[in-house]
Amino acid sequence: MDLKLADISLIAELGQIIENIVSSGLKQIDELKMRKIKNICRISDVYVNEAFKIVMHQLSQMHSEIRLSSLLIIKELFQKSHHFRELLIADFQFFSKLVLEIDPNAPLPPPLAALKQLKVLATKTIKEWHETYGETYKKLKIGFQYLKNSKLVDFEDMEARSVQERQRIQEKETKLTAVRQAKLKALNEEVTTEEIEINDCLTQIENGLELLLPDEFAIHAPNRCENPDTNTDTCDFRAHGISNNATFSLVIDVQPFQVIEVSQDNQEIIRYMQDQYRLLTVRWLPAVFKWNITSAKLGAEEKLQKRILDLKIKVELTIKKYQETNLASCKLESDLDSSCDSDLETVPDLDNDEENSTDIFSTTDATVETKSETHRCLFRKRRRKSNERTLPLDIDSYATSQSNVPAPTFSRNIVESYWVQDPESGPSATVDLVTHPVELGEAFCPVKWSCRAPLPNGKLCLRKDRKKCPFHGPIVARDEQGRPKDPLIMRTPAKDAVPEWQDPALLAEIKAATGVDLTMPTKGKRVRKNPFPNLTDLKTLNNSSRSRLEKKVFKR
Amino acid sequence: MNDVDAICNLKTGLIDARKFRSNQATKRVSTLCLSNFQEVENSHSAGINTIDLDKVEGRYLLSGGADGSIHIHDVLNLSGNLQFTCKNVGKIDRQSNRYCHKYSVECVQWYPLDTGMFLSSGMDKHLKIWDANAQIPADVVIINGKIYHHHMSPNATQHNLVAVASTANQVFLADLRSGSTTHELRCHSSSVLSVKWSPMQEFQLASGSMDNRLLMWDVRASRSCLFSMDQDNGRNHANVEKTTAHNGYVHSLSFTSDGLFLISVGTDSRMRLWNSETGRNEMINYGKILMESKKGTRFDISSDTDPQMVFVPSQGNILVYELTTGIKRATLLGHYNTVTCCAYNENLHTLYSGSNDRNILVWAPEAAEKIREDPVNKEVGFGSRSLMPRRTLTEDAWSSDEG
Repeated sequence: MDLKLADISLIAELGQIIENIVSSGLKQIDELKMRKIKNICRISDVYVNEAFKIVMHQLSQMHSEIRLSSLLIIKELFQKSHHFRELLIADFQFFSKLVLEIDPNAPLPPPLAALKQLKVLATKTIKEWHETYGETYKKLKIGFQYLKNSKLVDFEDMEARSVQERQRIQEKETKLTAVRQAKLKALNEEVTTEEIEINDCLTQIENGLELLLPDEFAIHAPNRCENPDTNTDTCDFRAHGISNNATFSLVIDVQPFQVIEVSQDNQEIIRYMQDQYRLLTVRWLPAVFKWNITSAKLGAEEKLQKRILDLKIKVELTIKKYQETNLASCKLESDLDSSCDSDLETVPDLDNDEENSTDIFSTTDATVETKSETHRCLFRKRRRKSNERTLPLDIDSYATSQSNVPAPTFSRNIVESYWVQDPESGPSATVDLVTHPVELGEAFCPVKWSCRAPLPNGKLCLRKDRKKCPFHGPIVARDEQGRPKDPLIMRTPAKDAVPEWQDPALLAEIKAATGVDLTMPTKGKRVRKNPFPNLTDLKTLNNSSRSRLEKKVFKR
Repeated sequence: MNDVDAICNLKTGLIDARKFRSNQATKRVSTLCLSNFQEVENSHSAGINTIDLDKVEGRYLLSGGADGSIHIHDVLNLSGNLQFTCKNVGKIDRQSNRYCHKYSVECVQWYPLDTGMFLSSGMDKHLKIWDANAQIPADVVIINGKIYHHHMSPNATQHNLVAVASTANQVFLADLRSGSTTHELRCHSSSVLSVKWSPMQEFQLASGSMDNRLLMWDVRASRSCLFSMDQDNGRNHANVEKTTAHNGYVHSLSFTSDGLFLISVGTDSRMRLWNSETGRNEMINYGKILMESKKGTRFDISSDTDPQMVFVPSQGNILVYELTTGIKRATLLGHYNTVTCCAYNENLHTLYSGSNDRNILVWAPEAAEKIREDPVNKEVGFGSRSLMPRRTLTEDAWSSDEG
């Protein structure tokens, strides 16, 4: 009878200790507690049986931290007791379902950090068990093979990723490579098609340059070699009365670029070359740069990269060559003639000259779109200048607004339909349609004072409000430190007076000494005590704005 | 009675040889456990649906998988070592054999008199008759329905019929001599899950179906069936047509080796023993035997033991029952998914089981072999080293400081 009683008390103690360990939320087991469990278990296999039941119950809780601690206990007991090993191996499928992510229908519970640790620990532990006990316990060996072959648990993968995860990663990778391949292919095609054009352009410029500047070296160099006098030149200094020691400076005016004279003959060539150059700089150079960057990014094969690089160098060389001539600054006759309708005509700056621009736009027949755009910018400017304030159009101002401005009419013809404004009414008409001026009795005066209430960072509040700061209440006179000058305001009556003994420091002291928490509960709130304060609370984990909204929106 | 006494009694004629044999077999079968020494080479890449051991020497194990493959393993240990892996001696799968079944193989059976031929059938509606040596089908019979089970009479001398159970509501009889179906047995109102020929009466056939009925046939009889098994022995039904054998599908059935009794299991988690002459329910309570599968589960009976034992797969375990009393003798733990089939080897007193975890496991009476194990291994020399940790591993390892 005594034994029976002892049994029950010990089993209860066992349960207590295990629950204690499991709810501690620690990543390691308290040595002392574990020793207590072992002491009870070594008495008899009856207790091992009970311990197994309790731990398996804890292991099946929907909380990864609990599972992790339970697994640690299991690991300890597995090493020690043969009976425990047999029990666990008999139930090995269930066990592995709880600690490894092998069943897609029963995923491991949150929190995520503990979940990952659990998986890693489980794979490591099962691998160790298999190495040590695999030969002795056949079912363990079969189970290990089963997990490895049928459930595809990778025991070498230390991150313990599940099959689904691995699949997901692989799919993502294949997707990315497919996209990359497609991009590379497109790039390759683009390069091959445009390469011809670039090369054409380059050859044209080169040939043009050759035509305009016949290569001096090619023509004159042989002449120079033939000239026998070149060697004797230096000797003649003395004959001219200049001693060898005499120093003299020879200034050679090197022109930055070669000058090409514009004539009737080469005019066409120059024009054509200017066109080509523009094409080269505006279109091909950026394109080549872009290819270079994309090919590097996509990791293109060397052949393609080299091709692009060659093109780039060629283009750059040709541009340099062109810039060494004065071709860019050559003025052609026909250009001079047509300068007035050139594309690059300078447009008068709108912002600088308001009067002028207004005139321009009131007279020119610009499209409606450009007009409205300039209006907006114009209007902003004007508003900044004058202190006139406007309000959006609403029904009470409708009549006044209407009387002043003729409404735009909708012109409809076959080709296009648009709103037509009476050109005489000017740009302000549109503005008036949207807003209208309101006459205020007094002129707007900006706020001259700031709130200046002390902030937690030591600075003073910089908000400029007329009467009341939204953070610090009515604006009052304050001294340099930000304290109100009027002492009456300083004394704000405490609404909910807390008794002196509710001082948090004192309470903490009492709690440390006696273990009693004397904090008064907040009024109107019932504080629910969390039975396991050390574990991550899954409810708060799920309590996100998204989940709350989901509850309202989807679960109706 | 220990072994020494038993042998003494045998020599002195106090017990006859048959009795001695069955005593020893019973003793061995009751110590069945997951074999530490024997294993079957892992060659399946899908769940195993069916296995069959040849009746001639009990040497070749035929197994059919859910991917349509068929494998043959040699289970006879001729190496002289205890440690033994059953080698795969024949493989018919999609990579190696173009005649392989297209879908899952549901049933395989050796030709009862020879290992030169075997039959297989499956979800591709084909019943294939294989030449085991050449590994090509000699003939293919196409059945009107997905085949769940087939059976060839183990003792027939006057016919060569193969009974086929399929999704069609009839039992088909395929004649091997003509290579086509010759009979249709009509009475079931739903798919037939299992058929078995009686090992004694060569024209007697039993079939179990999804309509919960278990019917006994005489294939010569012109009327539909001999009788329908009634689980309530006629007490509850006025209408004979509505008698049922189970309150669920009749999963699987088997005759005892003497042909006197018939055992059936159903999805109602029950196993029932029937008198095959009268169709009476013997009312033996085997308890609850959980079944997950909706297809057939193949169990086996040990015929050489006394009492006879039934090995029934139930989910991930195999349950061992005494046939006549319904007492559960053991639960064999080792598989990791639903066990689908098992086959008992009379010569070695071992059991083979196949499951959805792709494993074929060997269950052997190894308590006796463990005694022998020490001297054998000491002679080998290196064995002792490998054995030392094994013994300590099965012991508790409480450290001394925890006291």
